[in-house]
Amino acid sequence: MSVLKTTIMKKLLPVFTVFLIALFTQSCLKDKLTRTYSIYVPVYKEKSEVYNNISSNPAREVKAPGKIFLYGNYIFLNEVDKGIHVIDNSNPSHPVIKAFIDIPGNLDIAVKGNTLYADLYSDLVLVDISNPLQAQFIRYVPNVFPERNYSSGFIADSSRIIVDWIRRDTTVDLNSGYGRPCTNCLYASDAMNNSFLKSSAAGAFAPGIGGSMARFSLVNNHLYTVNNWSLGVFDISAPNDAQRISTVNLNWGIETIYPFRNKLFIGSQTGMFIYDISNPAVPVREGQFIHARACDPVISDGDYAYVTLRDGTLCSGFNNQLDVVDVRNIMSPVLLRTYAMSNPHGLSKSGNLLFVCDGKDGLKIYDAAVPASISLKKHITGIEPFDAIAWNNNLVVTASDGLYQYDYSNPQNITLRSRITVNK
Amino acid sequence: MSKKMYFLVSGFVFWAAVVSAQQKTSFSSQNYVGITEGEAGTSFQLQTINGLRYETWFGGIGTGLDYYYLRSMPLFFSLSKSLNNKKRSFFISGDAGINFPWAAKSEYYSYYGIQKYFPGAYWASGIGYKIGLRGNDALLFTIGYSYKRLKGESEYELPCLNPPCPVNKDRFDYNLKRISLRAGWMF
Repeated sequence: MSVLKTTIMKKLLPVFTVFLIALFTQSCLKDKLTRTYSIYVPVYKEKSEVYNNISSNPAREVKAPGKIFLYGNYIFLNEVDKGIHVIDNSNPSHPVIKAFIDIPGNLDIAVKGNTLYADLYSDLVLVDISNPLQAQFIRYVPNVFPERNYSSGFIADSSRIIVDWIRRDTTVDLNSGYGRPCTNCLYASDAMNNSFLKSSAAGAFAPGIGGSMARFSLVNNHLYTVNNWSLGVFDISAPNDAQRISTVNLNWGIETIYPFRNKLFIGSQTGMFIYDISNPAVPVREGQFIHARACDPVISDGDYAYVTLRDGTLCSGFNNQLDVVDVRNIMSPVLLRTYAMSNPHGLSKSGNLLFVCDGKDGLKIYDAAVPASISLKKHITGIEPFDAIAWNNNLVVTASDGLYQYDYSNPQNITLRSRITVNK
Repeated sequence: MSKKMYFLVSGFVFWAAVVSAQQKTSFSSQNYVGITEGEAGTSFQLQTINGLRYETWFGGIGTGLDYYYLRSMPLFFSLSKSLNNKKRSFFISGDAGINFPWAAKSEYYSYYGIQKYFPGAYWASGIGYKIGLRGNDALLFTIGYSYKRLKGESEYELPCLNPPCPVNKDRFDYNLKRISLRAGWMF
């Protein structure tokens, strides 16, 4: 017994003492839980400095291609939230980036005559492009796109303009709550509710053919713009001016606008709406086609509307399909047929050819001579396209990795003409 | 199983084979049920350690279920030493290994929206008391300190219409420290 006691005293007691110290030392029993996430810190510039810089600056590499707009021999390619690349497309086989127009927060483009209309976050800016290589700022119309103001606790300095965001990783202790170590920055999770990262796509070719994902549309002397919940009508008969003349309230979730003849086809997350613009200042709703909740670009050839539905974080829903809708009776559009897709975005139609940008599944080209039975003619994989404009046998496609141009003069042999590569 | 673990387990098997050949060793198994107590509350644990006994030493490979904070399965090497060869004796033990997450479905949809969990370190040390029964059978009682680490990741795509949409990744790091109380049976 005495041997055991000695053993305990000599060998076990020190160990036990150390253990007891560990046991009752708070830090040794305190769980450490951390979360590392990203915040975005805004970089501001004075308004005057930003407006002065809205001009043709030296060409830049394409990093985040957005919407496209064809204008004569030029392609205006949106660099998401940064501005517009001016691309000389005199030879579609060898497009050359000539200049860059700095417009922070820019996503959309439209051109009439010598005036380029573009969004600068919530404002609409007018730029003189008489010579696209010497573009000049004309003026701005404030708060045309109010949904692009910030939310989720982030309050931007309204006296200045955000020109960039710096991403920073930060680690917070979960034991002491979620934590907000940065008082004037935007959290990545909050960005879900903000618009600065919500980039839409495409543009329109004036007059006539436009991108299916545009939020701007020009018809004669009127510029139509959609935000999440309304349609704005601007009189642009004066070349250097844009006066809002009316606002039409729409359902929530409006995404795209596409003009055809005297109609506007408006894509929303819940359906397609057709507005008559016989009186351009007062659009009147004529028909609608309601579908499951999804993102919904739309184009039309007059008799049929082609609507792509896709799911995704922003879009909700679970549908990825192409709906062909008979709009011959504009008051009562009827679903003709649904075609399964992977994750379709923008689309374009030229003659009987229908071009569908099906996200990661590539570019699909259909023979749509019989809308009730379209057939796949060519499937171009290896690119992730999101919008296309087909015009004059030249298909311009914006994709995640660049700007592509295809020659479709021979539908049996559609060939790649050129590619401007994205430099990430 | 990671390459490191493969080599460690292989090494252990080799060592066990060499030691067994000396015929002074015997197979032994320790099987525990217990609780862990820490900042996150009281949780159930279950362990089995199987290996070789050599005089007052026991070494083996252990695994089990650990419900503290997030369900996981530790895989570890364990070494213990009795203070003497008597029927009743104190012993000290130490474990070191890797903790593999085995999150329940509901745990994947937590407030933070974690979608993936990754393994982390696991170690434990403690003291125990052995009460010998017939033959090599014995009851074991231990108290100790146990640490497990887990990592998580939550990935979400920010909304945009121009693919590829920016993807944001939140990373979680859990360093969990608790007291371990176990009762077991050894044979």
